[in-house]
Amino acid sequence: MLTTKKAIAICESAIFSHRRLVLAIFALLTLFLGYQATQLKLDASFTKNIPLNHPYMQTYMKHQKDFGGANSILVAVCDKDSDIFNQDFFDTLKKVHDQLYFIPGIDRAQVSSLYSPSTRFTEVVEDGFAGGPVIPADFNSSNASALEKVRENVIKAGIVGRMVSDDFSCSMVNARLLEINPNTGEKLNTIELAERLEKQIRGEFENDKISIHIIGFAKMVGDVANGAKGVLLFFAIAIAITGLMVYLFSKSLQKTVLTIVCSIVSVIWQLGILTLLGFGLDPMSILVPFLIFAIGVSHGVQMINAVGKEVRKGLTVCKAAQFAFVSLALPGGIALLSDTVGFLTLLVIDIGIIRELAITASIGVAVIILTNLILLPVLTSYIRLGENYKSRFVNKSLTADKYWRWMSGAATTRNGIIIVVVSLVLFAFGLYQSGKMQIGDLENGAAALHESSRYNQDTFLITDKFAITVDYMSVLVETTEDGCTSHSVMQAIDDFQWKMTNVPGVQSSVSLASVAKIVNAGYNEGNPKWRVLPRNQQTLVQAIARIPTSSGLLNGNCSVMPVILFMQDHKAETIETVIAAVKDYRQQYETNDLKFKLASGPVGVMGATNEAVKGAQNPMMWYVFGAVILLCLLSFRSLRSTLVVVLPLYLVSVLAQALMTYLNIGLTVSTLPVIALGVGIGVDYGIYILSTMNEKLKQNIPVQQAYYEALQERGSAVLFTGITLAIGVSTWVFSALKFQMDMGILLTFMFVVNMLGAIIVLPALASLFWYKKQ
Amino acid sequence: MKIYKLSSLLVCICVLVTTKSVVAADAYMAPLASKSLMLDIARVSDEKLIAVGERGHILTSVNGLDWQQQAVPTTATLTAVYFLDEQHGWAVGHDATILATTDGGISWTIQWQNPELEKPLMDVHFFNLKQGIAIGAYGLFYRTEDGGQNWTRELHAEFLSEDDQAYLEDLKKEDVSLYKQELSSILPHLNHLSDNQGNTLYLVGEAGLIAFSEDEGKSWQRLDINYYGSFFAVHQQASGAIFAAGLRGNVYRIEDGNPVHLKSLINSSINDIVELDNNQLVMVGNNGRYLNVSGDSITAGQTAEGKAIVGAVWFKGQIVTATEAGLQILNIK
Repeated sequence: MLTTKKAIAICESAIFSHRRLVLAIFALLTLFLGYQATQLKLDASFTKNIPLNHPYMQTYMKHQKDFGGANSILVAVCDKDSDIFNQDFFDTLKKVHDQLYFIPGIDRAQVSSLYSPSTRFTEVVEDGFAGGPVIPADFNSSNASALEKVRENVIKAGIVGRMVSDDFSCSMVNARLLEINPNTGEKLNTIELAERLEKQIRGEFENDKISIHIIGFAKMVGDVANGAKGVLLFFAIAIAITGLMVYLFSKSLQKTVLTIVCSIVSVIWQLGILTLLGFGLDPMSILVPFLIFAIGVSHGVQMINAVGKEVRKGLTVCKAAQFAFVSLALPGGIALLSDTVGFLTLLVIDIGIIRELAITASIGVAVIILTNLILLPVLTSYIRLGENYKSRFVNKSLTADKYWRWMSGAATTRNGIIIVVVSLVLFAFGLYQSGKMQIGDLENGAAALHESSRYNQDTFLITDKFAITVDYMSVLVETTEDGCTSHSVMQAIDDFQWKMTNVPGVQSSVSLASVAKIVNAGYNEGNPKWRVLPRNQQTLVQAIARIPTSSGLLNGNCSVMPVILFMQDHKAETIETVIAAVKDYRQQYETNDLKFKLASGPVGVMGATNEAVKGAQNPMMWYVFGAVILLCLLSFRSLRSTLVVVLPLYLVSVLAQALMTYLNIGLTVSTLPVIALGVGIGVDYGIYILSTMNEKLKQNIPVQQAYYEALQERGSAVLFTGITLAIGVSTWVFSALKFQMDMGILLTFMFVVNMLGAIIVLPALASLFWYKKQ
Repeated sequence: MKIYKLSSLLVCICVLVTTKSVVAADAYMAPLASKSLMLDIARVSDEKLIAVGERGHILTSVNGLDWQQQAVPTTATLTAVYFLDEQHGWAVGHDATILATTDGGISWTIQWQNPELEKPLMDVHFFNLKQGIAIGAYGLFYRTEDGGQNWTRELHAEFLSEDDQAYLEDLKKEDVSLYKQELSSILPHLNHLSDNQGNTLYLVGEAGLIAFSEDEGKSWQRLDINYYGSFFAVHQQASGAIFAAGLRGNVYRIEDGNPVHLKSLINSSINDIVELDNNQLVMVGNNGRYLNVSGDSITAGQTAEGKAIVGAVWFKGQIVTATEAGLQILNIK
């Protein structure tokens, strides 16, 4: 500790004897990074949201070229008044199809609708097959009999439920997206694409008679980005509320402004550094700057609190600032370092977006070490606090003192035992509840958005009117070249598919095998009694030859064939059941040359994400607690002190999980980091309080007295910090985005309850751990 | 009426080996079995129905609404079921499968199966507990004289058209083995047998085939018809009227041995004909289409779902159907 103290002293003299230089450096850096921050872009991509190294995703990436992956867009064009067979509708549908075709990022080869030439019907007549495109080349939408012909063709083509809704009021345009532009090599700009969809498709074609419903990952991200723009308003509100709070606390306009400015500087630095490192800001982690601001303010308050206390004791402002720097450099540094490490532990989770969050947040917190532990005291040293300032505190400190005296009762042995017993009961309850916490999305539709959002309403409409949704999972059957010409392979696929169709949660299914059976019946005069997989190889080949690779049911040499399972929803429980069934049934059919690989399709991706999140949950907790314990051990050099700080933290993180169960919030990519963030930040309170208590205990002061003195010195700042942070994040509850609301609720809970843990459970534990010092 | 009498009716009898090459496992007991592709339905008694379909599915019901899947020792797709009495029944299907039950459809045994043949059986009929026939694709024709213990294959040249028969007669004189080879390859699909009222049994099949037999299927006579589409259904009414129906909704009534084409109201294939009370007939077919035939009036209709109806029976005042989307009650408007 001596060496640390020396180091701090050296820093102190270095910084405070060159105050102007320090300020100049900070000013220049802020200008530079501020400029960089203006270049920051919103950035979202599909692959960032998925665990790329998960085995399912390896399968997904491997076959993405053949089957287009999971990033698709569905556009349902609906007639509000009647069925679709009228001129107005077909003209609009054609325009939508053509417009979509020309939007950059759309895989033009894969745009399909009634107007695609590949949308064909076949029928059986006396002399074989007859067929053609559903919409003939000479189609004239103003001709009633032509429309009637199309209606018949639609039924013959068997596309009701897929391309035309069950009630004939909507028709679907389906498109796949290219992650990388094959011509320019540029990455898909998801947000721009979503804007184009909104403007060029919905904006242009939706009217009194026609409604347009767009779903798919890209559109969802676009809507999230739009919702995220509302964040600026929340940011302004949070700054205003926090500013008011800081003023009430510090009773000095100058100090309030300095604290807020320093915290904003840290946000500017963070965003600037992100740009420098080549990152963008993902709509999913748009809340991080908020968090950084709140953390900055909370540490800033500790600083101005210390300065104010010293000034009231009679020091000059400059000396007080120096003193505050010295006393807070260590606990503040440790606290911020543990925040940083807490965030960095999120890097172990193999999902791009969580890693980005980890990097974004840890940069931000690391920056606060500079802005609020160095810049703030230096700036504060310039301000003037007159007698008028001191007098504002005279009466207040007396009332506060009474309060602290009462609070310190928590550190008596009798109360300590009561508090610890109550905590243990809470812990047991929390542990039981947290065991029931669910993984993944628990609701229908996109979990990031509210149920009432346009996107989710569109999802519900499409799910309701069509047999297909974006909730499908592909099991990829890998076999040898020309595997589809083998009866035994096809039979295995068909049997597997049938067993999967019978699994609860699977709504319908399709594969090369199931389509080949229908074609075989077609070759036998449409007689349903021939709806089997022919044992004769030539006959089988004949049936398969009619199914093009554009159907997405086979690759070029038919060595890979997906079994597509359409699901009722994408709730975690449903996905889990279906994946377990796949793993069970495939054992009966797999051979060396025949594998049933999980998984592609949006639900396959969700399944992998859920598994990755579930798998990451415990390691993340171990790492974050490991880091916190290590830092506490290093700073306190005492196992006892470390336990006193960490045990309340653990209690609170278990209670947070119980809260998730209670509020029906699933553990997802967006809620997973919350516990790590909560623990990383929550540890601050404990460190601030215990670092003071520790000093007193070493001087053989009894526990209750030590805690009382710690409260006098840091109590108001700790309470204030908890409330500031909680207010900052609780505004998210009003966010347009469901995941921000969930994060807001959980973080508010973590901040408030961690603070209570630090001022109630921590002293109670201390009273038992330092039993002899009563 | 022109009936071709043939000097040699029965041509080839091959006694088959009694070892049965049984395919794979038992049928999977599936929750969705009653909603899967069902291909035939029959009455076991006034109180019980039985239906067969893909993947070796056999289901029974006492009310036509709730179905129980029964254990079946094959996964072959079953195309037809026939019950002689309340206990004894047979089901046939792909892989030339013949199944039998002696307990009213609760338990089934494989009497015959031959996947290598690559031919499906399409219908089965028993005249009594001992004698029965099973028919199928490419002229497949089996007969048993011992209740199904042994099945014997027969080739019936009478199912061929006049020209083909003449051609084969010539061939037979030149080369008997070549004749047999040719015969087994040009025989038409045999699709459906009538439930015989009286002594005459009707059979319909591919290429305008309507034939009848008055000697329990030992010899057949083909009706002269100027139509080459397939027939999938044939029905003898209690009143004696005979109807055959098939591809693209074509319906013929046999009048004095002559098939007369009736006005076609639908162009979907007709798969089965069911007789309701009062001589009323309902013909069911693909795309959920059906014809309602009462005396000389014919009306057409279509189900809301438009799913192919493959088989139908009249049971407790309702038409219960086997469709591509499972077992359903058909409500006729």
